[in-house]
Amino acid sequence: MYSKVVAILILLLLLMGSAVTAQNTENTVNVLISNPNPFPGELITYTVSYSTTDDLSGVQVQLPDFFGFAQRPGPVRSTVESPSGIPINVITQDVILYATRISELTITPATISIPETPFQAGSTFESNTITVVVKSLPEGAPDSFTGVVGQFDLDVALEKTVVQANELNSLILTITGTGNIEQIISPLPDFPESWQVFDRAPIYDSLSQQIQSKTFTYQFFPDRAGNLSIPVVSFSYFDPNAMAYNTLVGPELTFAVEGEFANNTNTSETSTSNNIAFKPMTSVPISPFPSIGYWILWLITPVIAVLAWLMGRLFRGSSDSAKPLKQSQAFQRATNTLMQAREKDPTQAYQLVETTIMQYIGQTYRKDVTADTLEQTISDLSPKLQQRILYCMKQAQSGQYAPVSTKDANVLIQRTLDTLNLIEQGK
Amino acid sequence: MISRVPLIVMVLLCTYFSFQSILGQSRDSLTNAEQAYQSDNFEASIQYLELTISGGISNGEIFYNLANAYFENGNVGKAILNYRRAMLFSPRDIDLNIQLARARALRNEITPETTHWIIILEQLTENIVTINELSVVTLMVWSSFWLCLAGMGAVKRWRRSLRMVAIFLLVVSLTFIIFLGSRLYIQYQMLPAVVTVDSTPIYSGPSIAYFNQYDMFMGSEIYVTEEDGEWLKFVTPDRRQGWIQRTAIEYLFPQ
Repeated sequence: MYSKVVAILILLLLLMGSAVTAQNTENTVNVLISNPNPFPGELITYTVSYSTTDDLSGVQVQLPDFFGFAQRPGPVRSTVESPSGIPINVITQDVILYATRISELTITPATISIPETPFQAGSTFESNTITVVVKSLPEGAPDSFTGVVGQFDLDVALEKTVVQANELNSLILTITGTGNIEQIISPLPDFPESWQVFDRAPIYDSLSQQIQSKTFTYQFFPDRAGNLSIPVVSFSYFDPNAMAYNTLVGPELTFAVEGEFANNTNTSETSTSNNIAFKPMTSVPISPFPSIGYWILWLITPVIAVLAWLMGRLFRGSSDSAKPLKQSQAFQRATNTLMQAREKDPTQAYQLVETTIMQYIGQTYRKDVTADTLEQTISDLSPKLQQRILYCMKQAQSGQYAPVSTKDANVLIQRTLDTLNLIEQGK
Repeated sequence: MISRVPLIVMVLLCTYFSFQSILGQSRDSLTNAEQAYQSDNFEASIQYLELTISGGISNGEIFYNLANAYFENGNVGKAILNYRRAMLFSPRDIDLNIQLARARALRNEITPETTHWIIILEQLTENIVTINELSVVTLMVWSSFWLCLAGMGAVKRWRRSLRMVAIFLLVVSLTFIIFLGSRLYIQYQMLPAVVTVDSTPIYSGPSIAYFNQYDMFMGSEIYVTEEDGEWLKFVTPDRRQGWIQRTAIEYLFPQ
């Protein structure tokens, strides 16, 4: 009875365990787009979320490339939800997008990468592909409209309201709002032509992922004293909520320039002496780059080198080829004589060995060799070879006057053949 | 065959006289440019000098004087452009280097630190030798190396003594070739250019529909790597990339 209860309990535990395991493997990747039918430049939010009952450590979100969109990725957030009592870990990432062209754009799937652990293999999950159809902006855009879409505020201010003559002043123009702020082109005010104006690189500030500001700074030198005004700055954008084009107009700003400016005419007269010296010129055209002929020169020396190498090889080859032929003939003759010596009686064989050594050395060194001059003649050979030849020679001489057998003669003949062969190989 | 000789002589004479005529006109233009410059009429000086250059007559002095005229006239972009053109002819000219530094200091942005490796390599020799000088030196070392090899190949007993000389010449040759290669690669493949408008937006692609990454200002120096109609892809010495409108820049050497 007890064993049946225990068996049922074990079965139940196994079933529960498998149910939990099945839940653990339920990993889902969801993507949402806030507006699948936006205007170009209109901000939309792309949200990717991944939920699992497993641990989220090491999980990585790989966003799509968002081709056709400008993007502002937000941080990855992780939360725990428990809709049915079981805690589910969720990671979410928002990306602010805006389309940069009017067409049907496809957002490729986002990928979630689960790292490999000792308990499970690594895996990846992909979201769905999303299609966004970007619609055209309505007609009736003002002339100053440059494709900016969203809701914006314009703030225009002067750095100083009073400046001295030849002192720098700055016009600071800040556009804040939600929209494609990166695409706002510098709305350069219409400064008087005689003023020196320098526009600085715009500065971006992020108030949130959606709300951003872009500040344009124009530094300028006015060219006269008195109360002066800055031309009005205007900026147009399209508001997708109101479905209307808006134009923001900045206030007319005034400032005072105190002091006196130098007389322009006098400046002109004195400037001649301050000019950068004019260098004497010749009307001879000069090219800063080498001509085609120059590159041909690069080939001349390699060609010379190759020819020299070939000539050297040819010359050496012809002189080298003559030597082995003579030496080979000498060796061939020596071999034949020694072969004949095998068939002679021992005393004659020893005489033939002596004669063969003399003839071979004489033909090889191209000189007459005697028993007395042999050692001197072969002095360029290695000591070991010299020793072997002299030993063969001595044996051949002494064997002629001593009782020797055919076997002794054959041993000497073979040894002499080996020695001459070694000389031949060494050449 | 005989009838061709007078024809060839006539063609040569015509070429000579037309060249002399161009040179004469150029000399007049240069004289007028100098007079206009000395009387502070920089606009006129610029016109005369540009006329001379468009006639095919250019050298370091002409570009330097043109750059000075632009500089005096307040056009920093064109001044930098022409100072850099002059640098191709006279890189060791102290006045030129000072003026280029002055013009760069007047730009509306901080001079970027060069991080692009091939531009770093190019800049190692840019202020020392012209491309022509570097070419001649490289050719001399290259020829010496091959002559050394020729000696080794021709005479067997020279091989050992010339081996170290050949290795040394090979190392020096390769070094010079790398320097020359970087200079030529920049001139022919990464076409140097200068922004000549007050400011221009830089996009992430070849159209205003793309993302406006940042703005560039007059005098910014860029290297054009790709063309797409009226749009040019470029890289800056500090490795920033983007697309710029063709009308906003001028090449160091007209394409």
